Amino acid sequence: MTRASSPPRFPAKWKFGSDVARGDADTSPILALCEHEDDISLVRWVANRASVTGIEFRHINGWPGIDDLLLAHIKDPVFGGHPPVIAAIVDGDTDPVERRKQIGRRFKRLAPASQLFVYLLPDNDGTGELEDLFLAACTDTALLDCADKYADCVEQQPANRAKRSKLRYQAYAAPRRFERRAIQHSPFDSELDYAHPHIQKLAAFLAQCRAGA
Amino acid sequence: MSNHLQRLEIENYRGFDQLTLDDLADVNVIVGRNNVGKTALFEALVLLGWPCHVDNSVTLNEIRGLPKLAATTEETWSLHFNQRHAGLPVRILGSGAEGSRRELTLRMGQGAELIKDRNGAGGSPLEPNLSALRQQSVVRFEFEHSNGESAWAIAAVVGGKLAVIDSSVLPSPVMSCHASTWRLLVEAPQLYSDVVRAGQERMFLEGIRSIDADISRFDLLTRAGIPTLHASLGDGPLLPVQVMGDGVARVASWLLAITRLSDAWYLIDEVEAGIHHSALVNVWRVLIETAKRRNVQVFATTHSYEALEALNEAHRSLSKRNRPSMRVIRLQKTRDEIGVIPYDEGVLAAAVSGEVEVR
Repeated sequence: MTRASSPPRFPAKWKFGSDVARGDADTSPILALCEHEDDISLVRWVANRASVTGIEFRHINGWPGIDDLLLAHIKDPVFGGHPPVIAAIVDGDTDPVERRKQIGRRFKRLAPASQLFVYLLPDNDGTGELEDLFLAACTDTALLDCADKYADCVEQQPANRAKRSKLRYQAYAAPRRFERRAIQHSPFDSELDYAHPHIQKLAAFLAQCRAGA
Repeated sequence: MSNHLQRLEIENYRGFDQLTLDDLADVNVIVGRNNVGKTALFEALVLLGWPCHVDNSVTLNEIRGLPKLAATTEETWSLHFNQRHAGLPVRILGSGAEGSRRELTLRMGQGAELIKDRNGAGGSPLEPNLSALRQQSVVRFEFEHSNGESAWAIAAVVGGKLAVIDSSVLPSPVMSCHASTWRLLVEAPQLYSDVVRAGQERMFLEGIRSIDADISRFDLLTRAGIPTLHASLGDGPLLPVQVMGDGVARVASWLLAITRLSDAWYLIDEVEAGIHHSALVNVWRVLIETAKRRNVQVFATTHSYEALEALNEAHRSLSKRNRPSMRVIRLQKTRDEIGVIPYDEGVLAAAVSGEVEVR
């Protein structure tokens, strides 16, 4: 059996259409900024279920030194030359209050004309990241068991420093990333509980962004 | 006082009601969808960089595929005015360092209003008919430079021909552009002679070798009595540059033009055309290095993401001392105007690295 060593990546410039194009032309486009590529899968699924359209999802690969990348996203022609509404869905880290202030200051400087909404996840070290939210809402216990076994296995590797929740999330969501396979398993199709309070909270946030845009 | 532009303001020209480009760099790459005004921006630079040369303004019609001269003055020049509304003047203002300013104004109206004086007017076939010209539509070009230089020209279509009266001294051009490879290659012998006279032939050869390392020498040979630029590959025979690949001819034409310029602007439309993607980094590198050495400000357009990736790579490969300032500028149509979205070096690098769209 052959196995890809890394998920296929399709450059943004190759994509056929965009999420923004599917939105209502009369509403302002939203730039949803997640921290990592994996986070986008979940947020996109929640937005689709919540029927919140007109969102362009981007990730920033963590925060340090990313002002230029943020500006590149904000200036993307997909936003038609207008400042997009920004929905930042990010970890709160150890001091959520300070984190929110930092994000506010950063975007005021980088995108003063953009409206900013921030969904702050509780903290970076304990539970409360997007993957925790995802795992809490999973309903396929068999696949969760599988993801647990994968995490057990990786955790035994001496060089492993990944958090268990990240390992479980990666194992659970991995098939989703082979987008061009004829046979694929998508945990976002039926195995997430949309009614779960965590998911509902995120859906409400996205709906709030759309209403405010 | 340098001729480099730091700011360009365009009013009532072609599709621009008003357009301002700030913080222009040594290398400026213009991107944007079709029909946002990239070519019009270049045309404005041509008019400003070679002011009051009336023939340029009608040659622009020809380059656009229109007759150089139409039946009337209005038809010939009205397309230069935004919405063909000639009630307002076209104004193109370029500002540079140390407060330098160059401004071109183009007006269309009745001769009686626009022919106010003839101070410094040179000889012209029109001169005997000046009073007749006062009775018809004319265009008036006016140019002023902060260094005190000024010029004017009045033009009209009279009997299907171009009639011009202008100030006796017209400003020297500070721009050159890549209009067509074929045209420039016709001029190549003269340009190459200038390059040799300036002792720049080595720079030129090294530049061309960036696109084909096998090119070993250039020389001027006559064919049927006409001087023709030839090149040889390795130890092979000298061949006319025209029979080499289009990319070689194109880059040769740029470098010939830039190498003989100094403190000027050079315009290249669709920089990627005819050039293999694998050569783009080298082409950019030699282009911006040559331009920096000759103190030439570059304005280029592209539709190619690969060209932007290559520009970023070429720019970053240069040592900081030799690295000119660089900027990508996207023209973007919004609901009722053309917007300007600038990318500095850092944001372009981040966009390319993150595979974010720029064009």
